[in-house]
Amino acid sequence: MEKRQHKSFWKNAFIGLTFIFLYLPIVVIIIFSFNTSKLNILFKGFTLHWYAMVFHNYQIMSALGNSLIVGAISTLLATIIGTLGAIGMSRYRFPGKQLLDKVLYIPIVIPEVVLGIALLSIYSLASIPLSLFSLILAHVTFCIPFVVLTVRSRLIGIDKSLEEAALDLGATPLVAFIKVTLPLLLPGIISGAGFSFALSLDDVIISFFTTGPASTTFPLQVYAMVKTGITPEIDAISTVMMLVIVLVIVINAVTQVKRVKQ
Amino acid sequence: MMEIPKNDFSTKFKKHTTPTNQPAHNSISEKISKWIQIIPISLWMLLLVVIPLMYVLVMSFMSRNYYGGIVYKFTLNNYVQVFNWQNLKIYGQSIWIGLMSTIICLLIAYPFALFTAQKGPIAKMILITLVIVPSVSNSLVRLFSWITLLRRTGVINTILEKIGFIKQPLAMVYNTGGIVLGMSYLLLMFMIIPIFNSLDRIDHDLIEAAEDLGASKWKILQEIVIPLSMPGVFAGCIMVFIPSLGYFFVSDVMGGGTSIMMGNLIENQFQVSRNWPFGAAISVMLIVLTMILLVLFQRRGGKMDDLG
Amino acid sequence: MKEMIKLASISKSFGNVVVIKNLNITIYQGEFLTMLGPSGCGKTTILRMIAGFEKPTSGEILLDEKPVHNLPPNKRKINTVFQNYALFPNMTVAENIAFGLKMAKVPKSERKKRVEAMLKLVQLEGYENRKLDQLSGGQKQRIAISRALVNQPQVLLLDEPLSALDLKLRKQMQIELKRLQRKLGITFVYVTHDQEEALMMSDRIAVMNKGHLEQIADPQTLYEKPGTRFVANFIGESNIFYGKVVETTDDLTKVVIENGYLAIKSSMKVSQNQTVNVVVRPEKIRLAETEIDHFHIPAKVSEHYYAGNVKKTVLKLQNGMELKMNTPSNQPLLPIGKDVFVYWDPMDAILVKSDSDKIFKILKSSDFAPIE
Repeated sequence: MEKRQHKSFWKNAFIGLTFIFLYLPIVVIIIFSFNTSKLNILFKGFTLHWYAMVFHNYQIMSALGNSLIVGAISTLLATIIGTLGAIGMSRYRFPGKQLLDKVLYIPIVIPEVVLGIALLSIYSLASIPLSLFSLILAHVTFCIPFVVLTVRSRLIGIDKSLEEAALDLGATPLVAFIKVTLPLLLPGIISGAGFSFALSLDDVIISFFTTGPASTTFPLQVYAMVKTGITPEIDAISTVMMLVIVLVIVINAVTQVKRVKQ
Repeated sequence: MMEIPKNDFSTKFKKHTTPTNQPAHNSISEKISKWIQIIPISLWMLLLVVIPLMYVLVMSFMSRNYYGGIVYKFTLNNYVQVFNWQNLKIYGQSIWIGLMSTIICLLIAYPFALFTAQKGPIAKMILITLVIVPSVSNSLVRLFSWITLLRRTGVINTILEKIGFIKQPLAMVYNTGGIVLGMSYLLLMFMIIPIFNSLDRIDHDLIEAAEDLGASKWKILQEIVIPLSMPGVFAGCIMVFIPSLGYFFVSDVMGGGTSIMMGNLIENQFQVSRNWPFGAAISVMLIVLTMILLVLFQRRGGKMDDLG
Repeated sequence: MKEMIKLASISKSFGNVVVIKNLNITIYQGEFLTMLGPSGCGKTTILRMIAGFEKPTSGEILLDEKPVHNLPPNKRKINTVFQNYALFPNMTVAENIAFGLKMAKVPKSERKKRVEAMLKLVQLEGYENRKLDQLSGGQKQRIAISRALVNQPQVLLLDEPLSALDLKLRKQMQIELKRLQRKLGITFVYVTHDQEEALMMSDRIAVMNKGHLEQIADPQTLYEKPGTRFVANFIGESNIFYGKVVETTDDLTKVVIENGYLAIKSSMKVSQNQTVNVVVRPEKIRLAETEIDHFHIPAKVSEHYYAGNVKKTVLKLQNGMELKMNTPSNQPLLPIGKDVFVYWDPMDAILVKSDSDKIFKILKSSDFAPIE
């Protein structure tokens, strides 16, 4: 009995240490976002100054605005195309299906830098200017496979006879899909969309190659600042962003825990 | 011959009727809905994945002019350049850093996933969510946090000096170790999740059966748990090792220009040196390397879906 | 009787695999017809073709004398009860039942009334707003049945609807389903692999094997006069002898088997030297200490088993073949090891066409229907 408790202590200690490793940088970000000193070395005193400053920093705000626009549009497009694709691929046989299935894994497995330069090259060949548009095309490209994967794993869990039952009861294929399959698929679609948005918002490498100077994103703005040092303003806006996302995750987790408990 | 009368058997040898044509539920609307589902994704992947990668392959055999433009003249020079000594050193360095990062991630992730998988369903969900949460904040900001902590004038060195523990600040970043730290930090999640999933999937009855047959905890881990989690381990290793080769910004931020990796080499060709064909050739090498690893992964029984 | 469904020369293949071979079945109005057969015999495929989920490769399906094989499932007045219920998990009980009515654009007030009526029919009044995960398996089954019946289909298809229920509930639901079918008078096409279930519920049973129809008949005929060796084996327990006809008189057909001979009274015309199968049910087997006229089947009492209402005895013939015999529980048994002579009333044996030319082949134990 004692030995077992002893063991579980070490196990929990290991889990705890891993979380310290994962969260230490985040604690640093939060602490320095409230620091009076501009130099991120030691904590000098508490202030909310940087939070006020960052919302007046045009550069950061416009980069953030670009990131949000690109994230939202890319997520929407990738979710629609990916969901339809996942359903179509599960239902129909068509020439090139096997190939498409393989191609979908490419953006997931190849190093991002390769996809980045490949897109840059093709934009240059097709004379597509580097802009928000080219950036959105790129983001949709790497988001689609993740949507397909999450939707597909959800589709597998749905009994095929449910849709047949709807058809049997007089529903047209479209109505059967909307009334029966879509509601059951929704959690998968939402998590695919969430995943896409997070990927898009944090992407450095592919955006680095596929956007122009006039349409820089938040991660690229940070990348440009890293050399000279990140200001507490970035810490402040990062803290705000984290807070929002954590809030969404917590709400989601609480509803899931409730469901598990049921 | 003896014949037993059977109700519906008299027609058994009647000729087959000709197959009926297209069923009504393959109507035009059904066809349209099929194409709406399949065409957008197929076109998108064709135009923005297949063709660009093919173009990279083609470009890797092209020449360039003095202004960095591509000249459509076949050459193998880019591949000759790929294999020159200086570049080989860079690949070696990249692979070394990738391997180190993979091993560190594995050493942290395996015990973590194992201990987490032993918890109750709600605890599991919370712990795994907590693993993912840091990744929603910007990775560059998080990387810079490590710089803040570990650089010569950083938090840790300053504290250690103040309490007189060290006289000279420790060099913890802006070197190869810093890059490995950054890679491991950013990619740890991709090792934890597949290993956790493969461990979580193990049927608890198997473990009870082994206990029933007299296996010790350690033996069970060795004989059942670890072998059954190997697909997850392989998936995790691939999900850490391959991206690490291309994460040029990590070596940029954490390495301080000390080690240049494959990712940086490619980035340089497309940004600074404007030698796209050479950059394309290195990319092709990276694709080939990725493909070799994936084939090995699948040979080992890995499933592509585990790489999500 | 009015023809409700007619399957005319139906064949179905998936790729190169032929699942149904030239099938002809007529199902009459108000009939309870069961498709019975081992798994993989094609019975579910037939049901899915009638429902419209699969299209026959060739042949026609007529519903109420009109061809329907080209209509999608939502255009057929046929509804299905699925094996795993296929209730919509995102809807309440009432929403599930009302689904078909909603599709048929039945006004809301009418819908409510009909849902109530259906729930009353399956004795689940007041369950309208329940969620599915609050229901037991039997309740889910009843909801699935009422959902399929609410549109008043001409035919109800049931695909092994009771297979997910435990034995006791299954027995109870069998009776309930049969009563429901009698009350509503709707044609039921029922698929099962459980021969006991089929015998108990059906007006007629179509026995399927490897994609073709072995025999279609009422349960009693099927049991007492199986048309093929497969049917004899699949329905109930049987002992099957291979033999050769040696003598036919108006009264008796004498058949010689390995190590003996036997007699049978059959209306079937057979000629001398023809090879035949003789089927004898375990409860028809009798034993004597001395030889009986026309029979010579020496055996040894080998094992006894107690099975509630009957006692089961295994008899061993000289060639190693084993016979199954059932004795009512209240009657005494002969001691194990005793030498006996097997016989039966010639009226009780069934002559079945032989599908093998090899005579005097020793029956392997695997040729027996499993003892259940």
